[in-house]
Amino acid sequence: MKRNFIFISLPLFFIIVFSSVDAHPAIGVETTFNYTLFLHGQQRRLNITIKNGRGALVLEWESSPYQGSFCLSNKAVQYADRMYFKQPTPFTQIQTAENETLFCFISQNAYAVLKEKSHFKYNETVYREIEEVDREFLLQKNQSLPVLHVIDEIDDSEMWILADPLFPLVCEMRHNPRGVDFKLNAITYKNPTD
Amino acid sequence: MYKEIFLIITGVISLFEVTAGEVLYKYVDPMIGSEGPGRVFIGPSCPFGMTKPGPDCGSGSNSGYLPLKYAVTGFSQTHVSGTGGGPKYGNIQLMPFTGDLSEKDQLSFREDEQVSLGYYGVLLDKHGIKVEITASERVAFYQFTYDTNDSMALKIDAGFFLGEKEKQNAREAQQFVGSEITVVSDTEVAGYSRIRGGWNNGDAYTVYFYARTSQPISHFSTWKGETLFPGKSEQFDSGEKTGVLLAFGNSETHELQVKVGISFISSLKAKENIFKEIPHWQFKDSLKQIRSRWEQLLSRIEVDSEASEDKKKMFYTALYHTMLMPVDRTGENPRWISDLPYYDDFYAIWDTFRTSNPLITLIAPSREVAIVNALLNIYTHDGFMPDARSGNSNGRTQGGSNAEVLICDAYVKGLKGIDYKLALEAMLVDATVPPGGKEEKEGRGGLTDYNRIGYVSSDFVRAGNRTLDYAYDDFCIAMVAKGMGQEELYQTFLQKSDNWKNLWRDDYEHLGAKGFILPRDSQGNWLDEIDYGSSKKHKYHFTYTPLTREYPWYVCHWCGFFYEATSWEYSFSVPHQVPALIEKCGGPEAFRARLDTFFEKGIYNVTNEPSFLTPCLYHWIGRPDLSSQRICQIVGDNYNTSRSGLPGNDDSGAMSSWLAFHMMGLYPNAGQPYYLLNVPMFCKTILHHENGTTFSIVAENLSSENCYIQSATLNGEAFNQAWISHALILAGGELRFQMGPESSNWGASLFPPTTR
Repeated sequence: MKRNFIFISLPLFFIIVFSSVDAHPAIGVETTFNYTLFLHGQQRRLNITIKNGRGALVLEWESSPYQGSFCLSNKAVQYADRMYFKQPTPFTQIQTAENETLFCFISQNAYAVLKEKSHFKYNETVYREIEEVDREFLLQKNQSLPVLHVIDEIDDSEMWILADPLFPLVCEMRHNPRGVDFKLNAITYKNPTD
Repeated sequence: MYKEIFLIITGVISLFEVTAGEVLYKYVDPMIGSEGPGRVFIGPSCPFGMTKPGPDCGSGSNSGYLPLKYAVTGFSQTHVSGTGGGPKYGNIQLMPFTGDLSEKDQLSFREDEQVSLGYYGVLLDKHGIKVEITASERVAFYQFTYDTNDSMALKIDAGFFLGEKEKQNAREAQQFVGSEITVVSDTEVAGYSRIRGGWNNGDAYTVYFYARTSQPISHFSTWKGETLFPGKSEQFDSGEKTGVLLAFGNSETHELQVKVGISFISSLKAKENIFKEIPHWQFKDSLKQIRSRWEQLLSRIEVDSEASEDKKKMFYTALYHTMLMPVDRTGENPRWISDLPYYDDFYAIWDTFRTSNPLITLIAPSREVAIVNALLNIYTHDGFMPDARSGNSNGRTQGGSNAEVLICDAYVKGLKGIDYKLALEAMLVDATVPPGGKEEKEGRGGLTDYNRIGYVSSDFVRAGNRTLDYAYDDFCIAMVAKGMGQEELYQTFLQKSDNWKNLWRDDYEHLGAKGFILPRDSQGNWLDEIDYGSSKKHKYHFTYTPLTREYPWYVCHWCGFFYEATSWEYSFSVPHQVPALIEKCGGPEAFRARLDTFFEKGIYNVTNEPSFLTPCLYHWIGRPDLSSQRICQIVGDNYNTSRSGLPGNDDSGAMSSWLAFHMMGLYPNAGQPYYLLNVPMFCKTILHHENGTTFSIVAENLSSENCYIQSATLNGEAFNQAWISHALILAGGELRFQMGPESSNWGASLFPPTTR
């Protein structure tokens, strides 16, 4: 708990700069997550890029020809207990509520609880960890990520969550009762020479 | 009588002067709209022609075509033009090559692509083979010129089709059913391809072919599945893909010609099509013939010879695109025999009823008569007229049963040769018989609601546009019934044409406008929050606003309240009761403000058909000048002569016909017997009607500065209304606009008619 507290209390800019886990580079500003959304029989590409924000996390999204952004408070990044799942609004910045992360990641606190107890509560639903031998998530170009696999107790939706306490990205969601499934294809990291 | 004779003679002479002078087909650029969202077919095709041979660059492109950086797989004989969703057809693919007969895959990059009306030519890089294609109605004519040192070979693939996906029964994907191939003689190959599905989820259709070669086949290998069979002349249909690789040895001319007859009946019928249409081997003669056929149609509208090359290209290409579909398959119907015409590839009437069919009515009314009769033919045997149809199957119905609009348009414009009694019967089936679980195929989904409570409730998908479309379709039924003396039917359906008001939420305000078409449940409650999702415990909902497009995030693409549009767009869609709509919106000033907001905030969607009429709605508040301004801006911003020169899917010529009308300064309100008048984009346009009369539209002093109509005369008499009846246009004469630099009161007081 104390260890988790130390992680949670880190200022946001440290999170943005220093988030890292063994086996993948640092997630930070200008990191782009390339997703495929599976929407009622159709597929859409969605790119989400971490941008600088003053005291907040700003995520720009792009799904050609549309784009927009989300703004999340520090508190949301650290303590949120639900996901913002509304359809992205083009050419608009949406401020999520203090208890909401964007649908593609959970809060640091939620991740810490998951690691400690093997389950956590999010979206008013308990997600339990599935113990697996192979805890790797395969991206395109054979890049692999360490993940935790969870399943919810009500609708059997599943998530594969990046094992990163500072940025617990949802790499894949399946059987979402909202009908919006998605899968991470690639992560593009900012070129360190930029 | 003598006046009529005179008019006929002058019409004929005028036509002669047009054809004796400049040819118009050279202004057609089939490449306009071939890239970007347009998706037009770029290969040769006769007007409404059944065969449309052209390049396939892989199997993913709806038209087959992709730019030069993509390799070409081959050249198939059947395509559609401007469609969205999953591709259709792409049957019987030819591909020339050199070398031995060991490889089915003969993919090649291209260069030096030459495309013009009736002709496609390109050089295949892989083996340096020049490919040239022209066509007749049902026969594709190929000319392959090989390098002097190479042997000549040709692949005929009876298993290829567009839209194939790895996943079986993928959404809107065509599915292979069977194919067969036979080497009949040393110059003849026959077979078929049987495919089902595609965008319209259609039943299996079969494309038969018969190919004749100008050089003798020296040896060949047929294939079934992945196995080649050298020397085996037949591959019967066992549910696997078949084809043949043909070798022709060395020829002194290094030229191979191939004629591919197509049929939906049999291979022998395809062979007969060759004998009837292209019995010779003169490629240039066939090319001349297809161009002549188009010239006859294009020359029915003559524009100012001083107009810029770009304007002429945009206009005549737009006319050309309008007349690619539907396709005339009279005599090629594999499902029944009938004396009536048979047309297919209505793709879809939802897209084309507003502009394409009215334009065909102006240019070639006898063709529109055939199209309407084809709808009645289909009704007689399939039980419902289509709103869309391809591969001999009805489907899919995106909104209303819009064949009603085509019939009404034909009726009010006096088209003869249609059994309107049968037509009214067919319309009434749409309006009274639920399609019984086949709502995407034909008929009116949600009809039980519509007829019981006066609107389609949220229990049904696409409730918004269905309600609006049905109200207009019912208006069309009322007009035909009235004309045929059916007073009771007229009154019933006139009343139903008011049903759009049942979804009009008077008190809803958004962006300064009041009143919108919004979701309502079957109990009459307005729904601001719409449930979605499938949790066992949680309830999810989203807020519906006039700008909401809830698909595909919350619901599937076909499952929203409006199909491919928002409430802001569709709340303008009441073409039969615009004055009542204005009243609902709060009067002329509020309506003007609403229209201004719609355009200035970028809510107007130029890429799709639902908002086609909206730029002209200023006419009904006495401001036709504002309509013209909007249209001028829209055309200038979105249409051009580039390969991306169409702003959306052309949808069988819908986008193109919208443009063509506005370039003439006319715009139809389909189903009603008049055209709205706007500032023309040509100084002079002459319509040469089928009946021999001629109607001219002249814009005196038209320029970029003089872009407002100051006054108008019709046959020398003052004409102070910004609309004109179809009858007056057909009677012949001259409409002359005086143009000037300032907005005027012309057309401000005599509003377009409202028929009741």
